[in-house]
Amino acid sequence: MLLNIEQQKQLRQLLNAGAKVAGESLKTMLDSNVSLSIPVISAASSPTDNTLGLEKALADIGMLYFSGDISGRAFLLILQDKADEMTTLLTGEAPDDAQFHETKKAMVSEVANIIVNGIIGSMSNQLQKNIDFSPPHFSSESPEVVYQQQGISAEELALLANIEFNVEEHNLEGKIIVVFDHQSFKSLMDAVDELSLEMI
Amino acid sequence: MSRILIIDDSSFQRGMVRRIVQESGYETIEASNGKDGLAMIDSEDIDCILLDLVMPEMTGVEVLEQLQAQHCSVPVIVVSADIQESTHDICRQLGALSIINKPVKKNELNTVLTEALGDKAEVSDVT
Repeated sequence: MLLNIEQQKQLRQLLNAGAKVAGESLKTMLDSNVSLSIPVISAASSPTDNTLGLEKALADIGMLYFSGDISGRAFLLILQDKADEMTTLLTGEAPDDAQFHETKKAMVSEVANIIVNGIIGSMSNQLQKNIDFSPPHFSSESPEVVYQQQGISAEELALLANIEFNVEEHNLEGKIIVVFDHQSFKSLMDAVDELSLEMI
Repeated sequence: MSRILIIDDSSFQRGMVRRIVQESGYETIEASNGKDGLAMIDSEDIDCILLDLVMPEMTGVEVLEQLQAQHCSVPVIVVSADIQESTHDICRQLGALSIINKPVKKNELNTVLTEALGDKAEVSDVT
């Protein structure tokens, strides 16, 4: 692992605070209680993704790049049938409506935008950094393919934070994955260390 | 009836905001990017602008810079997923009247719209 125990703890706390912001946003959008897992942080070398059975299944994915003092990519992954349900819930459109797929793409992209901004923006505020975000991109792939396409591999060791969300009332679930680029590790860890010193 | 310009590249987000704004009795027009939005501000009669920040071609910050350079008097409310304090500071420095975060909450949007429209908001009350 690239981080010492204290750094892992600080980073998890930062991500957890961000996840709470993202959870509040989801709660507002869906008008339902949302439960979120504690972020799991790992060095991302060829991540496998078994917890939601997502590794082979097709998922609807919203992805954003972030850059600046800290850089990386973040994904919102929702199994396709769950994304359909979420689209209907938020827009009232049915899957057989002519524009449904376009509506779903826009919905997944925007929900990813809001959630990722919540997580990373919260970290940025706490660390007093500046981060720029790309517009969200949509794809329908298996997460395995996305990992490969995005170069999350053993060669490009990155830090991966994995957060799961569940909306019990509507039987919705999904996953948020944040990949911090190897190049931004140093600035991220310096900022985390600074924050730790301020808290002493 | 007050006329609100919504500038956002997300059709989903425009739809969500449109619903709230129209339910509150305002008329809406829409642009899906900053360039089209600026063209509409020049050519249309607009009472308030709801502006997204992260958009392809021209960002919301670039739109604010243009409006400031033109001494545009139409009030701008930034509606963004970006919660960074540094971003909010930049928007305020560039003349944004208010900044609200996505997802948009009906009460919050109506409050800032009423503030932005002043006397014009009163004629738009529809119940």
